[in-house]
Amino acid sequence: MSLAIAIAAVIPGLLLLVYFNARQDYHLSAEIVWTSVLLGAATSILAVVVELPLDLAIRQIDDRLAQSLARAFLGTGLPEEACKYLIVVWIALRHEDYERPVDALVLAVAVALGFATFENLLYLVKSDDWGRTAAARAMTAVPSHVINAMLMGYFLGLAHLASRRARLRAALFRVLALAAPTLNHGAYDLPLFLIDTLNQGSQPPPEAALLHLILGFALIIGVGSLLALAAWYDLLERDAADAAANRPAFTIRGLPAPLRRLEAGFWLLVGGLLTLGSLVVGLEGFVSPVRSGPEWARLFPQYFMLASAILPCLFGLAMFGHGLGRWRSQRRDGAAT
Amino acid sequence: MSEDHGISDDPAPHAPAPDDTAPAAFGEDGLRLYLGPNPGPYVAFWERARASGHPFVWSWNWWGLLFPLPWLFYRKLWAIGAAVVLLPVLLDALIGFGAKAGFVLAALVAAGGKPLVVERAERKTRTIDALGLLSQESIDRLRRAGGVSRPGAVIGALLMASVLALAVHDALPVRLPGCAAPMVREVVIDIARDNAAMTGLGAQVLRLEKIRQAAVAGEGHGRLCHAELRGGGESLPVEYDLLWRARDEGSFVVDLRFRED
Repeated sequence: MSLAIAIAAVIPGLLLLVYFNARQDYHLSAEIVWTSVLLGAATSILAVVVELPLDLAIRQIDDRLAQSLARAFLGTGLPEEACKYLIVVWIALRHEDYERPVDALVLAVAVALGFATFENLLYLVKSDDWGRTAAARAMTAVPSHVINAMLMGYFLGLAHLASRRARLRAALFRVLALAAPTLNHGAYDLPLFLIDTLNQGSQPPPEAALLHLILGFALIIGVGSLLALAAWYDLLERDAADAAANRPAFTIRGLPAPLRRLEAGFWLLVGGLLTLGSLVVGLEGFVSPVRSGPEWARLFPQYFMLASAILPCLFGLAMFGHGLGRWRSQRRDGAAT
Repeated sequence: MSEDHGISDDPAPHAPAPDDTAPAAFGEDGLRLYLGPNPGPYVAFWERARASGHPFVWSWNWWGLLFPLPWLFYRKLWAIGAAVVLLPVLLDALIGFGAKAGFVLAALVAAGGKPLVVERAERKTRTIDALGLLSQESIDRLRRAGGVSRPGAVIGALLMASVLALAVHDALPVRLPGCAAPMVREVVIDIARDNAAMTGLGAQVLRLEKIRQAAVAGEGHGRLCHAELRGGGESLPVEYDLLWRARDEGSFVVDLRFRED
């Protein structure tokens, strides 16, 4: 059972980590990537220790809305993102292999995946129904950490680009590198904490409030993901322009030839399965709806499943697209030779 | 104490002045260049190990034993430092054997610290040589790879403090919340709202005031609390027992009664 839990906890993070490394042509050495993952995992313990007294203090707040706001932004978002930020800025970006602005994004993602994977493992070990928890966290919590890390890495990459010319602007980007993921993390947690708080009362929660919260949750996930993807592509473009203007050639660590031949197929398969799987899960509530109970009890699972499927579906599409790109370039290379 | 001085305040690396030739093979110059501040104990260990010809040479490092995480992170042994944090927690979560593993790992760091630093220096030198960079680039890169990290030492200290704080937190007995704890007040108000017909206060906004512990309950493990339930300008004296339901899980039960004063 322990081994099964460990595998279930590690696989989502591992898959995303390999994907991000592949998207950067394996530029970073395995050492810096895995060191970042391990340090991200270690720093989750620091986050827990910071969160414990904060949580106790926040629970003294009587107003439920204020308590949920404080829990989401100050009690969870800020400590977790600050711990990751410490590792990314003080350790990962000082490694001798860190050369390109876009590396900041990959390293932030590596730290976040280490953090999320270890947190995942601790959740699953404590859970009574670890299979369901593993599936739910693989679809929501792990990709959500990645989205926050992408925002952090984007601003750190911009700070890297600005640091040569405008120090003040670079400092502003460093502040944004902490503020943006903290806000996104808090916004993601807030509807969940509010639902949790509403469900704690002995009275049934107001139906309209629950539905609005779940729609808000879906909207936040959607907007956050699109912002992170836009930030990533923007950084890739700026990085390419900077490379053309300022930088000598950098090290590319490609895959060994046999693996390179399998790579396109791997990403097409994994991306396709992830997209289809998340669509099936997301639409399940509509295909086989709950037919009894009040309206909110019927609609709640539908919207919640749909919202939870957004992130894995987007990542699945991105992986599939990457596989397609690799397959085309392999065909082009084959035709040229 | 051993001859290793670990964390040093010396800001200037005791490295040879950069010239236009990169270190061709791993030697004392390369080692000193990599080590940065306070290279003496490591160079002495490297020479001793080279002279003995044995694969394992005994060494000891008190900093590694007493402050394993700050020392490992200060010397940029990141992955090993992270493993020292994670292994005890993982072992504790998976097979319930964590605290002793922490002491064993600290002893291993004390015994293996210097060999690890020297081995990393050799490995980094080889890796950087293999990149085929210009000599000055090679030297700069080796210097960046080596040396020490003061922020790393701070992060290591924070992590070590966190692990110790978690161990102390887990060892402390779980305390029953007080009569006026917010979660207790919430439960009392919810029960009162569910029994609106009995209280006569209706389902309006209720507050719990004048809360005090009147006595101990549940054979000395619980609390008997007195308070006033207020709503819509009226008040009702109440008392409630606060008892453990499952102490190891931290869950408690509230038994509310209406008090005749």
